[in-house]
Amino acid sequence: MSVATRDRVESPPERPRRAGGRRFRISENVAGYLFLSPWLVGLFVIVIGPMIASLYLSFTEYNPLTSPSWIGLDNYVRLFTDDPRYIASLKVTLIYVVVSVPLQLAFALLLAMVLDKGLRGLSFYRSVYYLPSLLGSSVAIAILWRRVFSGDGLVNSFLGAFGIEGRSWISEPATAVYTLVALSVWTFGAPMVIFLAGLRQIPDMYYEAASVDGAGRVRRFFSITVPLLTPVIFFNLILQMIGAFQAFTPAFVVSDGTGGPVDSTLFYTLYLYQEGFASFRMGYASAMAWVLFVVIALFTALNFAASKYWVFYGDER
Amino acid sequence: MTVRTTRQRAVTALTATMCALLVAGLAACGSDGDSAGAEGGDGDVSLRIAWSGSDERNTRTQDALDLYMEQNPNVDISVEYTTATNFWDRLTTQVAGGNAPDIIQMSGQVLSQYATSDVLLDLGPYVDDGTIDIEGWEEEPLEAQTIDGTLYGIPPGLDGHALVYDATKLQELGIEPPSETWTWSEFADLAREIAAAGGEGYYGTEDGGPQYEVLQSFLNQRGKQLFDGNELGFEAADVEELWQFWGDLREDGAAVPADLQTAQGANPENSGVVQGYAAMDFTTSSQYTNFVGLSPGEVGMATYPFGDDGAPGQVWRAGMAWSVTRTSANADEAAKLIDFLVNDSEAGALLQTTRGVPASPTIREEVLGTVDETEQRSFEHLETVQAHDAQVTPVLPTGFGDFNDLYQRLYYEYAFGRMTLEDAVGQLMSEAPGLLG
Amino acid sequence: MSGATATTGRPSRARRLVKHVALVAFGLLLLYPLIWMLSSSFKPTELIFSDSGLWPSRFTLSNYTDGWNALRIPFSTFFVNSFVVAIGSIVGNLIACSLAAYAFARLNFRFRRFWFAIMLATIMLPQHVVLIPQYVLFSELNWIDTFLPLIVPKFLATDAFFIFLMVQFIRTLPRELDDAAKIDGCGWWGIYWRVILPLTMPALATTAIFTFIWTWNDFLSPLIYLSTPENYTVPLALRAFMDAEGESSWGPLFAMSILSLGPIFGFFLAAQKYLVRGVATTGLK
Repeated sequence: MSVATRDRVESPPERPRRAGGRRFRISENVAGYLFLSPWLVGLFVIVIGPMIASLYLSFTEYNPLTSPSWIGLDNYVRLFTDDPRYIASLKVTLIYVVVSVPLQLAFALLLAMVLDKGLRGLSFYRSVYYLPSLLGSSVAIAILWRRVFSGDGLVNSFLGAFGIEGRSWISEPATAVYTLVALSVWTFGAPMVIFLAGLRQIPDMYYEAASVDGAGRVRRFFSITVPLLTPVIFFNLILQMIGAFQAFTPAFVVSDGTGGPVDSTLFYTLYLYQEGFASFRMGYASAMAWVLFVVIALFTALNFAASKYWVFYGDER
Repeated sequence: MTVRTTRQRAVTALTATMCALLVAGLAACGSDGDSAGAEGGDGDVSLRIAWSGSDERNTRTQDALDLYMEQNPNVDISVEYTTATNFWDRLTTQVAGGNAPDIIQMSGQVLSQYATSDVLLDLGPYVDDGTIDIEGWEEEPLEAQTIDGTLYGIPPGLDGHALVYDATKLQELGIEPPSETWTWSEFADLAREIAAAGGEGYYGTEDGGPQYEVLQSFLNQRGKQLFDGNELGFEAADVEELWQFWGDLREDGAAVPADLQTAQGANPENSGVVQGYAAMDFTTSSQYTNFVGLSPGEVGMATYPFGDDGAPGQVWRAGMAWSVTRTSANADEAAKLIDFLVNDSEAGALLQTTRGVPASPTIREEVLGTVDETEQRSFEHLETVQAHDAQVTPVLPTGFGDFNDLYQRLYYEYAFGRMTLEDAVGQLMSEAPGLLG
Repeated sequence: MSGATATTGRPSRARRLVKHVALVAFGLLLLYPLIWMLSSSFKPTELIFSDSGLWPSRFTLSNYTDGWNALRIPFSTFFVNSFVVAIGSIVGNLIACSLAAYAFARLNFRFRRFWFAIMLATIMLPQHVVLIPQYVLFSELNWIDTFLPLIVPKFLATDAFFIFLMVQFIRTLPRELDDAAKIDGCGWWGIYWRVILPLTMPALATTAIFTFIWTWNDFLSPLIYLSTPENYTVPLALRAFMDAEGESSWGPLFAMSILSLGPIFGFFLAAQKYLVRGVATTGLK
């Protein structure tokens, strides 16, 4: 992050007006902590305690119906040496992250551009296009997704019209995870709205200046929209990535909690949930959670490091 | 009780310490709020009761509880119900947090887990002193709630393994429905006949391979059991024979292919019988009314097929039971309420068959007279099953859920052709024992 | 409309028509599952899974009337509960998250990067493993079976997602604005209140919309913390129609699902106009 390198010494010494001088008596340091205080209270009272508790539990054998007993690193060792299902769930999750995140973001950005401005009734279209996302975590999706991707579902009827014989996508171990990718792309509403908001944040003066310079649509998209949107693209990328690593509800609802057929949709957190709640191995589940934590942290750090090269902030001078 | 307190405090203390350490002086964190189970004033009792189920069960149970509160004005009951899938998540969290309800609707699949984790109270004393009256009850369903001589639950209802079939379709095809004492060979023939007559995309039967209930009957017919205590009660050859049987049916197009089966899941609304692509499915008699309600045509109910040597191998169950938690501050009152729910005539009339055919023979008789024809079929079916030297599903060992998952997963590995029959069964036999006990 | 299109002229009529047709067609495709659900909600239960046509061959309203009253508590109770939780959460998130975001994006305080990293880290641990410790915490506070565990944390900015969102948005604003405000005599609070908040309207609207939708749809936390049916939120009530052991009432489930989409759809429709009020319409040049 480039913030820290910025030169910030100029504000206190210059006192153009007396009123300003009085108000800035609170140092920036104290002001920062004051603004941060609700979050800090929440962090220490509600968030950190349970996190540390779960870290401790990851070193124990813990049936939630009884008390935990310390077993050191056993859970972590077992994860990587003696649990093929864990490795399988890790693979499924990685596939899901790598395929669904870029697809969903591209789709969301495309629709945000289309639905941004220039046509009557766009606000209505926006709302309608957002509807799938409202439904994404509903129990009803279990049934609905089968209507689309089962043997006699919508997709196959469509393919059938072109003489292509489809299969039961949702129940074939080889393709089931991609129906969940489709579900994720289908619920593109959240990143789309963030993109839309980001597009609105771009001051018109830039476009006007560019038009005066004679820049065309495509030029404006790549030389103004994309660069100025990079903080938002970056945000969406980070959040969708974290979300995809932690994806639970779609797999849970569609596979009825099993991660089937034959573990082909056994997402990381679904397996974690099964172990912790259905199999009463909460210690093991906690270890899984902390491994995922490290994985996500690494990916995020990597993204932040890379962001220096492609994300541009308006507050940089 | 001391066991209980240390356990619930383990996590409590840990979290409390964390937050006490970090935010010294937050009053609530220092306080000892361990007293589980709300207590009212003098003589006032409050009870929390939790169950999972459909909206009809919820409504009828609440009606019965209202009646109880009317008759016992000093008792205040608060209910906590949700669907089966999520019920256990909440319960586990509540138990871990030292905040369990007084009465729980236990399931046979996790009874051992809860009992051996010291969550449940011994109900034996309440039966002995007559608080809970089980006079005249069949013994087997109660034995199925007893672990090491301790009774952990009172079953409200019973049901039996059952096979449902699309009667309208069979009539259309001009095929005779199954007889009461039919065999697996007759079943296979019937499935093939239906598939042949039903045409492309219609199957004789749903695949019974992934269902442990089918294995259970199959083993009973061979004089074996699913489990022998905490060990497997069967050998590789048994499973191989059963899975091969289903494999052959699938190959012939008589049973639904694996991808169609996994597209659906286990609920009645997803069954081929309801959706109209298969004629038969394996279920329990308590689901029969659901099949009837969801199907546009007539649905028939038959017994599980007998062994080819005529061994019935029928099974009936007390799949759930009312249990009291050890942390309950009002266990005596909880036991009285349970007795009311299973033995009171008026309660029985309200509850009807929402938890299966009533376990109390007296109530069963009374309720039978009031239910419609479809419901009556489930009473008759239970009697039919019982008449054939049937077995009650015994207490299932801890880790049964894991076993069941493994069993299904490996069956599908085989059904999808991702593993050979021998490999899949081999893995079952090597991994399953480690999950139990 | 504004800037970009105004200067290039509106697209031609034919082009607009093509665009409308394309948007409608694509919308119908996207909405197919929803349309199926809508149609099923008007079918008698026994036809939902056997009659695959989109137009109900027999039409009934009973799913709506039955569903509304099926749980002995009228569905309106659940709607009210959901509203209370959602509104409380929105207010909490808007206040607490924007305060923290302003600090992170604009103020230079000690250990800022450290706290920022911690803030991101709190998003990264799967929720399931902190459920039990968190339950214990709220149980110690005697907050079980109240809305407090669902609302109070929002006032303490535990939804770090939104802090991050607002930080990203604030950082797209030129710093000259702050400096100008300072010259006009604004303090830290003044800059936050008069400059940053109005200019991050789109981010605030986004926060409000998402908070509404996510709390409206949230299932796990209400499941754990709300135990008596009188306190249930809509998603908890909806699941009561489904049961793996018994009869799932799909008709009422679909009908009530459709109804429960109403408020979020309405909220989205109403709130999205604030998405438009960014820099573009506040006259910043």
